[in-house]
Amino acid sequence: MNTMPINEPKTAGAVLVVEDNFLVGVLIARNVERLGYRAIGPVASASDAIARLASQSITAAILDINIRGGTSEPVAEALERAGIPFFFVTGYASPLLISQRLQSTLRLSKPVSDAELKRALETSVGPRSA
Amino acid sequence: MLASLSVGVLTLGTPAWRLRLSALALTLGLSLIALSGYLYDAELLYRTPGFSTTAIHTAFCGAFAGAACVLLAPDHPPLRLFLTDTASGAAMRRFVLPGLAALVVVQVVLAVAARAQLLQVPLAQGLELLVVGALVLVLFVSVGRHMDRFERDLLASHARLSESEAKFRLMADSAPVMIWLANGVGEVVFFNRRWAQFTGMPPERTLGYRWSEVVHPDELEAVVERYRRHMQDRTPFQFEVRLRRHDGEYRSLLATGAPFTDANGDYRGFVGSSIDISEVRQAMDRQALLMRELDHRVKNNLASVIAVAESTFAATHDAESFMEAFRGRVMAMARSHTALAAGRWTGLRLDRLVRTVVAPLFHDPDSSLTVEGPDVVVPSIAVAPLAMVLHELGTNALKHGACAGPGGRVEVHWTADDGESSRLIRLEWTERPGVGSIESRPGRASDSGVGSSGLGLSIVQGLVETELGGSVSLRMPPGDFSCVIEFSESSWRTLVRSAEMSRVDQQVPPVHPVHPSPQESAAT
Repeated sequence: MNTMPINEPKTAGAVLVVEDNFLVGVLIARNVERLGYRAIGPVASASDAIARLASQSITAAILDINIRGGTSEPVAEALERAGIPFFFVTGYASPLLISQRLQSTLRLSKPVSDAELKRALETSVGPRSA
Repeated sequence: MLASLSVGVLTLGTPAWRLRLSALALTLGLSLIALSGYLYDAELLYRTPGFSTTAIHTAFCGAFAGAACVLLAPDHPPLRLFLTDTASGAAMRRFVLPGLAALVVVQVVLAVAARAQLLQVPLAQGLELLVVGALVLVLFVSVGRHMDRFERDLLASHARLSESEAKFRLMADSAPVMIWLANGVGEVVFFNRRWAQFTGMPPERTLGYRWSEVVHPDELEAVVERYRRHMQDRTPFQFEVRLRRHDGEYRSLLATGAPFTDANGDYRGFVGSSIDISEVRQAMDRQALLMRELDHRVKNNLASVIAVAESTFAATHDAESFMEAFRGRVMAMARSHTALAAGRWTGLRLDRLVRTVVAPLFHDPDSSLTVEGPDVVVPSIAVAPLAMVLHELGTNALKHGACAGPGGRVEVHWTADDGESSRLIRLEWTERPGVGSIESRPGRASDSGVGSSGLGLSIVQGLVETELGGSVSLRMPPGDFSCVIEFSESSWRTLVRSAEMSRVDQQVPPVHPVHPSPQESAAT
């Protein structure tokens, strides 16, 4: 069970990438690393992502909404419970797939540019302290 | 008196016998009163100063006439309508009231004249008789004619009405839409048979405002409010509403209503219709869903192309080799897409997929490519990653594997074994070097991504494990290179990415939720 405190110093900067398109996931992970964070994943399913949350120390997460076997909503809920910031990356223009509660969460539209990714990561995690 | 009698007899020949009967009774009563009056008058009238009992007789006559009409024909619709109809009522007043007034005036004038000794009493009586008789004659002839005409018109319009009503009902009941009529205050007074069939309730159970019992609870308040507003403003309306069908299912209906007037231009109420547009609604929802899905898939594909470009770029050293590798990968995506679209996105046979993707890579696919295996249909969602995998294996074989030299061959075989819950697919890609060629090349792409082709086997592994839910095992040289990919058909089913997407893929249109029908409230 992950009981990571909310105020843990964010120096680790480990970003979980949840994306079921392998090549896109690899690309996002690579871009995350290029921006100076450590990428974890990509993982393709909600259950894999939740398993990673339990086993690894994670600072932030990037979630594709539409993933293998459903949506990443269970992952989002687990992240909320753990107090880990996250944002969505999706091909959908309208926010139909996720519940009302998560509608206010930051959502990037695919394909995501480096600048957007950088801004989103800095908003979620804060500028990388390195 | 005689004149009165004659009027009664004269009017007997008309068709409205009850009306004539009442007129006859009236005449007889009038005659009796007149007779007694004159007998009485002869002794008393001119002995009582300033008072004519004939005026009282006349008033009696009027009261008796009304009573006779009402008593004799209380249920006679033409008479009842006549008495309540304003236009004809005015005509009646025009004849009766002035007639009665004239009688009174004549009586008083004659009485005063006789008293002032201007006329002999017998002369006055004779004149009175004459004038009263003439007035009564005119009165009855006028009223009789008027009533005749009125009754004729009324009967004719009734005939027309029942004929047109029969036509109306026939039309309304055979129409494929629900039709209703509301009165001036918005209460529904008519529903056609189609409505009764839809609700499963007899029309009288839903009259007035009781149709609202079948409105979806979520929309009830807004719908009734809207309906009332239009009824008040007398403005036409058209809106969509969900109504409960007899089987408890809520259906989408397009309800329209418009005010209507009678021949005189007076507002009479609303006429409206409702048509079940659930199928149309579903098609519209489906179209919107498809548009969203298209948007999503286009963006995802663009993201994939960018990812492919980046991966290729990272693994190539010059623009030319980048372009060659990149183009090949995008072409593989395009070819698999074309094949899928040709099959209307219902999936692709595995042999067809292999040939579509791999054959174009070879100069002579007939001699260098063998494709063999039982019938397996790859679901549309698994086609793109599998095509990418096959493309990578194909380009690797050409660049670094058996097919880099002359006479090299690729054999793609697969088996489908019945597993516990679904078939297990085992696809084996084997490369057979040509006679005399180098068995294998050290430059084969590997995890390090070295080599001009770039993506290499790590990509193959990633795609199979992540996107196909399968596993990869490689047999590297020495010996013939082979790649075995295993996956189960059931793991393909879990690839479906969301409920919404699966709805598109399964061609199942969305439906409105069905609420349990509150039968108790409907029974009130």
